[in-house]
Amino acid sequence: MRHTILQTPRGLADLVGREVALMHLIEEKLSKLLASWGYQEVHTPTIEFADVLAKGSEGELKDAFCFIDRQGDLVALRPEMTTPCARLLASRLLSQPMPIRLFYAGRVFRYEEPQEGKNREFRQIGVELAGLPAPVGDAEVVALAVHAFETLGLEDFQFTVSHIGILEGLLEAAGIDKEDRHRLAHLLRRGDFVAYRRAVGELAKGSLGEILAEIPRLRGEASLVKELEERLAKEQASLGLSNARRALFELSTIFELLEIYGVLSYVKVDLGMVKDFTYYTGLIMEGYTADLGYTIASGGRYDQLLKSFGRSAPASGWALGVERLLLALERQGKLPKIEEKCEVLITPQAGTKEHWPQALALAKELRKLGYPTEVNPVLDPGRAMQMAKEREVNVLIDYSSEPKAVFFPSEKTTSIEDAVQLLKGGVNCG
Amino acid sequence: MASGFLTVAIPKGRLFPPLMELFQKAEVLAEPLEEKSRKLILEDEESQLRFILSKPTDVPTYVEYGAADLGIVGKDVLVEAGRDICELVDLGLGFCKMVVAVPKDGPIKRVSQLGFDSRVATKYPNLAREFFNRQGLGVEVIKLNGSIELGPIVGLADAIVDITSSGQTLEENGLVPIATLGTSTARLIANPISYKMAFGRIMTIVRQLEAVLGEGGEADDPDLADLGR
Repeated sequence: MRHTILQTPRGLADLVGREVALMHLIEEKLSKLLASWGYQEVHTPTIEFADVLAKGSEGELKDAFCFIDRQGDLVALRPEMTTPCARLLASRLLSQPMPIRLFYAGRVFRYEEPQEGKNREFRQIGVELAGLPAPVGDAEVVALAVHAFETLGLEDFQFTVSHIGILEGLLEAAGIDKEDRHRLAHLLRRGDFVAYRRAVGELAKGSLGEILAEIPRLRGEASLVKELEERLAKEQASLGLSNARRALFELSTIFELLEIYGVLSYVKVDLGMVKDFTYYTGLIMEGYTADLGYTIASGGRYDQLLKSFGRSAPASGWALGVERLLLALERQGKLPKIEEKCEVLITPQAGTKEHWPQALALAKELRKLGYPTEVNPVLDPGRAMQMAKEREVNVLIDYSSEPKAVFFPSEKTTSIEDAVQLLKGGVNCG
Repeated sequence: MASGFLTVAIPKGRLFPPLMELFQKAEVLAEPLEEKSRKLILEDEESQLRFILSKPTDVPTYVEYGAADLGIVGKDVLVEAGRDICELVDLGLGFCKMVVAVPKDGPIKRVSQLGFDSRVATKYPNLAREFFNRQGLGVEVIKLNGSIELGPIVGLADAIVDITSSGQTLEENGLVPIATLGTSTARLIANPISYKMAFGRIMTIVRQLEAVLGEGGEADDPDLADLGR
């Protein structure tokens, strides 16, 4: 590959100034919320052993950046945070009593085709709630996700939920073998409902076939779950449907709890939802807004993952993409306000030590007051004015000839003492 | 997205007239749109639909990025583009086959004769590569943007992969089909998030269309879906 020394690899980008500040700001807001629900923050390593990360995806690590370390071990950049958290819960946190609530904010890496909203390195904030089974744990994490979106002022958002056992149970009951079940799930994940319906038409007959064909269209209010429960109860082969019915019942009890949490209006059912990660065992969920063409939050229940690390415990959680969240907030005009502080430029004369003691003492004082203050030497007052304009500062304190202060954009000139008094009193810049 | 206009990306060209006929029959539109007007965006107040007229190959892009909520595009284009969209309805329009064709009087009579030193010209490089790879044939695939039939005539390629409906263009250029990759018809597609957020409105259109479409006939050749990702 030809590249110049000014390029970054595909799908990776620099973030600067305001972009970084916005990211900090929303991560701070979310961290506060998650901490207030009793979740403890964890940092896990960026690099993990590949076989650890592969526990989350049936031994396969298809989207991860893998490489061999100096000892010859295959390692990888984490493509998601749930598996590292599961490892942590079964190792260092082994003696902590369940339930354990964890949250994280960090970068993950995926080798996928870059496009808008899909970079190869991105930030995720997420939670893992270990030790609380369905439906209680599920309801808490879904409710918390709704609050996370609300906290940021996001509007017009929606969460959809389903239960992985519903589709699986229906397919099993229809006598569809594992290979075909995989194929059908793959078609649903790809969104190819035309091919899915055709394949179901060939594989399943009768009323069960009809229900299966409708799956991508079974979307809407919580009442849909009850309706399907009633339909299945009438089916002749109702014994074979016990798994599907159990899953439906679990989903309906999750909805009952969501109503108590007061978040029901944000949550819909989507029985055609299928997830990429293979560790899900129960609830699956996604969150999005009308302004962004892809999901922002994603999660579910994974009751077997911890067991694969040697600590049996039910668990559920979600992660949300910070960059996507920022895009959605931007499109809705809801980006958080970055507090605008007066920026100060102090310009002592270049080439002399005269005025440096006053300049540095003043800089120290202003920084203590919270004003971002730069000290740059200049040759003359003309250059000082030019520099102040280039850097778009609010106040210039110039020592390069007659000491003076200039406010921008009015270019009103005062003595340094007056300017300091104004700044101490909390001047409004803009 | 959820309220107001729904945006539909539709292809200019041969699919346009039968599509308008279908929309009118299904009462999606009261009046057909005029393709001749040079406008690229047409709005229909009554149905609250906004139409983007675009090149067929651009339709999946508009829909994936959410610039359009819905789109209409051939399965051939869809599989080639491999985009994250939902495919809702087979409209049965614009039926064509994707075939491998070779010069009538040339040495190649079967696909298996195309080897690592063979060149195949096509507008569908991803589909073509997938088809040959599955048979362990490492042919070199050359992407052309039009007049694919020229490839073998001027010695650029040994074979072509292209769509054909009547086979007439192939014949006029001295080519015969030797294999079918699959069949293609026009599909109604949706942005996955639009499908969720505007589900009710989209399903109304889906049901209107399905009411006049009936059950699609079973084709002899497999749908191109099987060659997808």
